[in-house]
Amino acid sequence: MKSTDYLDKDYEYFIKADLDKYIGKYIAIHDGKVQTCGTSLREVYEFMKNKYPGIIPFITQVQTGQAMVL
Amino acid sequence: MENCYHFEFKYKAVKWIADGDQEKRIHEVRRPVAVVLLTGTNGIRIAEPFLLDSGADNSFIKYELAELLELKLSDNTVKVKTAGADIEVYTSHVEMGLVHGNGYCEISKDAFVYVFQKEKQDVPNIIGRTPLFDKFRITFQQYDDKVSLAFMEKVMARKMAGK
Repeated sequence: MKSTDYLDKDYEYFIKADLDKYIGKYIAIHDGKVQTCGTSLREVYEFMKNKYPGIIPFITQVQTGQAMVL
Repeated sequence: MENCYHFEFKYKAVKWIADGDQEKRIHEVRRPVAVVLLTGTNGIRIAEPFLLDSGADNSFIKYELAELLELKLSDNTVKVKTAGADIEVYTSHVEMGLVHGNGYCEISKDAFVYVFQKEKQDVPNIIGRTPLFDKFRITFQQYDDKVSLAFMEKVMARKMAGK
């Protein structure tokens, strides 16, 4: 498997960034920023596949902070 | 990507204001997450932060994710009990691993997962005790805002070797 150390940076950005404006949306993180956001996972995945074909995309749906009991 | 046996993930902090709060007080929750690498039956790989839930018997993924990875879903839904209410979910299997930086550790090539129904949009992907807790020693350190996971086979091998 190719090096994926970029995922470490993507994850660090995800942890530190204030993503409130994206609540409910899917975002892809890479190169120290949110690359794209959208309402569907596929749309965000396709964007990343086209822009960065060689990487594993780091994608998440930004969750609200409201209390959760699962 | 190297094989890895120890992972450490930081908690994700999220701020929010309660609906209808005139004083707009800001609350903050911190949640343990782990970066899970999923591989679909179509070969698509995607890294997603999953909520680590020691109270969940199993793992749950969103319908859109199962769809993107072209996972085979059960024909019928099954009922699962949650704290709020019973929910109907599909069942499926997916290849899962933990990823952090250059390290990778397979959780399962064929992990059993529940798949939320399509209309369940506002739910997180959850990794529960099966399959994760069966293979890793997991220490939640909320005070330090981190969770650590040690792959047990590797830990045992090191102990046996006296390291």
